[in-house]
Amino acid sequence: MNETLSYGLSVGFFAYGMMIVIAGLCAVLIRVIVTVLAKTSKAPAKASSKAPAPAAPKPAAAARAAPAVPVPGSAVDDGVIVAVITAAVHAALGAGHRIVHLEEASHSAWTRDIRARHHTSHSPHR
Amino acid sequence: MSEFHILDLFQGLATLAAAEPHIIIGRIFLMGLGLLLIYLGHKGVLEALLMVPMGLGMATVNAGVLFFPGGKTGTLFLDPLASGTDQVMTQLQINWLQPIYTFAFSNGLIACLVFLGIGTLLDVGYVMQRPFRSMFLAICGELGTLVAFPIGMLMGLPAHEAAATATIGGADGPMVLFASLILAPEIFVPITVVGYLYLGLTYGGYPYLIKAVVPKKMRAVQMPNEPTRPISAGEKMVFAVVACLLLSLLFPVAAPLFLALFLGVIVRESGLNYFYDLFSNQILYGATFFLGLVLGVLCEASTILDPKVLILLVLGILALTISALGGLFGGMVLYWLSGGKYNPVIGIAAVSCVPTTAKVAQKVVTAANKNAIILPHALGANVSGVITSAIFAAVLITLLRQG
Repeated sequence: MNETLSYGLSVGFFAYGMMIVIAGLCAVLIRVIVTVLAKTSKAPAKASSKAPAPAAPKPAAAARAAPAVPVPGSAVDDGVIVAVITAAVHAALGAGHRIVHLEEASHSAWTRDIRARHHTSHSPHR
Repeated sequence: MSEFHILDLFQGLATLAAAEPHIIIGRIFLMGLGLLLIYLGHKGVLEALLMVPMGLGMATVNAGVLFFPGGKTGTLFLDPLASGTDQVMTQLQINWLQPIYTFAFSNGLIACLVFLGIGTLLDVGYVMQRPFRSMFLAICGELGTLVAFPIGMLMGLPAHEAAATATIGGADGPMVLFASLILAPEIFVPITVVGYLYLGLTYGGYPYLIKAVVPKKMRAVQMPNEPTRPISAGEKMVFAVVACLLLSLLFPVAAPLFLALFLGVIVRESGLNYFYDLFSNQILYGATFFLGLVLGVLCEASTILDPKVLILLVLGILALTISALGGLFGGMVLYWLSGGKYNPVIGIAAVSCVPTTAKVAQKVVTAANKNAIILPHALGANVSGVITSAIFAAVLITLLRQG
């Protein structure tokens, strides 16, 4: 029994240790990929901007101000779009729902509908 | 006509009457269990997509046992014990689900198809934004596999069978199927059935575990709004390609699963919308349907009633519970390290079981605080959980594979 337990523990801990090392390497790999690709994507942008650009707000400030800034070349501002979407969601789903995130749709309505069905599959009749 | 017996007309009842007592009890119990799975799936307690076909398959296969020439009993669904070319070819022409079982199930194809579909659901951007925290939680979420393996050996299972059963702690259905097919083909049916039954239970059971372990004050913690750089599709593809090649180089035995998973990720990010729609809809849901149905049909009493099933039931629940506690422990560690700014419930998502545990985490947190949004963090831990489960299973398979 002791032999069985010690064999099981040694194999188990060895496998767990290997998993920790490889998972850690994956995390480092991810950080390296993100860092390297972020730098390479910024480099061409810097090279192409020869003329001095007008003073831009800092990223954090820009993010906070974004909802109130009108979209250039657009007749409506983002606030109006958010209001329209909010009204549509309220009309479709009723009160008690909050919009957490908005982004441009990257997949078809069919795919989104199937995804929504999957994500709500645990309470199919509610 | 004078020798006609009513049971000759109704062979399902005749085989029941002629069976050994433990088979009679087993068949009736499994019919009841199948009906219960349908009910719980319908009510939303268990995963409906899997449990409804599985439950009906389980109930029906135990009702539809008939006599074959020579007095043997069997069904017209499939014969998982068929071996040898001639026997398999014969069964392929008789049993209606035998082609699915032989050509998609027993070689792991269906596990790879489900993984391909899961890959299209995974947004690796979440883990790429917070790789270290996500991986830390995922490592904690593998504790169940670590603990269940030696306990399984102590309970009398050989090392390869204990390891295959312990992978239930990784909470990844296709991974359990794949690992048990390679490590313990002789009992892969009960291992996979037990694994999927328990994975179906996570949605109903984990919320109670979270509430028992994490105080309401901690469950209500709102995650701070961190400035994170959006990860581009190109970066996600680079990660998927490099990780797929690297992990396949290290563990060729699990390379089919790695390829399926990361191919799904690449299809998602590459903008190939026709492939994306195909794999994330028809392939994923088609494979899930047949997975559930075949698993249910495999639960015929004479196949599933193995003395080891009781051990598997104990080990499976132990593995999943300890993995969940490990994930929550990891969440607690991050809570204390961040000075109370990290919601520890995110840890439950590190157990994997994509995307159920992430949804469970958000659901429990929302019940404690309507304004707390943890889903992006939970999905990061969720994706990391898939990766660590695959790595852990691959290491165990490499160490313990026979022959």
